[in-house]
Amino acid sequence: MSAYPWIMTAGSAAIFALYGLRCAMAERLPELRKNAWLNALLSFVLSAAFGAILARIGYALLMSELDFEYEGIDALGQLLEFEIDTVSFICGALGVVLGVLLANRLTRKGSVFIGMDAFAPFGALLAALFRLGELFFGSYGAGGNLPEGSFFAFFPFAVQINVAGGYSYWAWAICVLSAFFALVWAGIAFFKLRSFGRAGLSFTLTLFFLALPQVLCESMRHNVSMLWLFVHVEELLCVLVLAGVMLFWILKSGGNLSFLRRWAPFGVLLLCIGLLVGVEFAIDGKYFGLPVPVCYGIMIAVLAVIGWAGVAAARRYNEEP
Amino acid sequence: MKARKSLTRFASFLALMAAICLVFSAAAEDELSIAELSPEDVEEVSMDAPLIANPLPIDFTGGFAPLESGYLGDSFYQDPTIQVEITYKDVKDYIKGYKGRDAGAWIVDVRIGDASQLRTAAAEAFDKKTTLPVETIADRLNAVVAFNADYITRQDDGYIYREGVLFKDKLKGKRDVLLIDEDGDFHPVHLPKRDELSDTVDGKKVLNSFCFGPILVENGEVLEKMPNFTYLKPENYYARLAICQVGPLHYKVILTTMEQDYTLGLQLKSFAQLCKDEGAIVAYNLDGGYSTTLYFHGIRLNSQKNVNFREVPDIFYFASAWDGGNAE
Repeated sequence: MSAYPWIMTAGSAAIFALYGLRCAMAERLPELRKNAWLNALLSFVLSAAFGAILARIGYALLMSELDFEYEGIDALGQLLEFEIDTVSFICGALGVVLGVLLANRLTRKGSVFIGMDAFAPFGALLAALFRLGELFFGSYGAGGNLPEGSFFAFFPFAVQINVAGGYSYWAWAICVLSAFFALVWAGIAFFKLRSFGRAGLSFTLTLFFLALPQVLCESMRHNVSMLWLFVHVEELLCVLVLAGVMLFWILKSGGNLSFLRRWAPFGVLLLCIGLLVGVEFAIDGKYFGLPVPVCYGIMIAVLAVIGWAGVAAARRYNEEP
Repeated sequence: MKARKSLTRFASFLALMAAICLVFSAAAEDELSIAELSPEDVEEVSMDAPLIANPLPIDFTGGFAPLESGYLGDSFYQDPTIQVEITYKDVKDYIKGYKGRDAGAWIVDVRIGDASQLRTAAAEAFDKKTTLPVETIADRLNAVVAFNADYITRQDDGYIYREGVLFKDKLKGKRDVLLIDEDGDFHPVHLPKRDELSDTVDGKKVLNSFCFGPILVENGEVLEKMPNFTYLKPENYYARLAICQVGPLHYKVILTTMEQDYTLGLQLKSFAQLCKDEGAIVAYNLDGGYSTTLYFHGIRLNSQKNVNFREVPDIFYFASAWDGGNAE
């Protein structure tokens, strides 16, 4: 546990150093090379600060954690208590984005998206690092329990959870799956999306395709710190990120698109969100009588459709106005 | 050409997702089989044998493994420290509307030799929100009979006092609380606020608390006014679960069932009346709906037609304190 902050700090610093290196070596983009190292350092500092602040405040606000009725103004003191289950990962990730965005605004002229595009693969790496960091917290990054003697009862598929009373069990390592998706996207963003299309496309695609598989991962987590009754709040936030990014693409789309053609992907997204809600009810055993693995199969198919709609919207965004 | 390439990419993506899904399906297959046991299988057995008091430690370890020879039929367990009898009852008459619809309730009659045999456990810990199937938690603790509890670790407010340890006091005066003392006696508390409860009640140490509610029966009478703060609306015909004290170290846990629309649950008032009719001196409502679980001898008895079951963060259970090996 005590190694966690050091490993995360060192890992984050290394990732931001790589980001600085990429910017410094960007031969075809002089605006990236300018203040590359200063930008990386400022990005690191600001994203650490905004990430931590938004992660904590996001949790406190969304979960109505602060009890002013009993504690008065002293309740604000709780905001200084950082625990793994009193922070919001998605709010923290948005804080990191805000930090890098601000650093780009302060150190570079022109569109901030050029810097954000360069940061995209490193943002995905950061997400993977922090997801893997959840392994320090036992059940926090884990999913459902594995049956006794399961073939998959070993790392990296599963993690062993120690339970009050001296017992233990194996649970699916959902944080590893999350990190895997983020790493795959980091590779795609680094090797395939380099200097790709319109400014902001790499960055927004990364946001979209980091959030997309997280809907599944958040649904499968069992030690969920943010819950509204049975609703996984972080899953909901992922869906909001998807909707936000898609709206951005649609509103900034170029060309003379008809209303239907412009908004069709968003319509598909809304339809899919409805289906996802239905799947969540089915997983909870409420309707349809579908076994859980089938429910997750449907969820994956629905997410694939959202991904397809996202790519369609991104393509239209890529057509310069 | 470009469209074909995109289509290939999309198909590959779908194939990858389907493969992941298949891996999960294969691993989860074992969890889906449910043994069949119909309510007609239950038998009636008398419960009057004297019991031995053999205290279990007040902690989160389990009880002694139940004796296989202690199971008499599919609905009765007995050893020198505990007796459990389960019956299924037609409660159609408790339904006000929906005439002609079936409604049933499981009545679990439990006598124990020592208060420590009424135990609570979390999926992981009472300061974590992890969930597991009731049967997984129950099996590791050698529960004779186990039930879902109050889902409290997943609530933001509330009161958690389990096995003699206070985990949370964030009461807001909106929920009734049930305290269980070291003699196994129930103490219902109406809408307490933060810092109003202590680790003793009437001079006895508190072992466990539940924070869901409302209190249904107090001093043998159905309460006229019950606070409504749960998502299980009182007027709806839900599956419900109540823990009742009917005498010293003598309890009944009553569950109404709701098997995917084949039968109805009960409205809260009718449910309270059922608890009273079953002899409850104190009856306290716990989490119901799709969380409702009765697990006995390796089988989930209620709602067997359901395919998926909600996993829960905590359970309460009755354990055997009989160490057969030592006794011999």
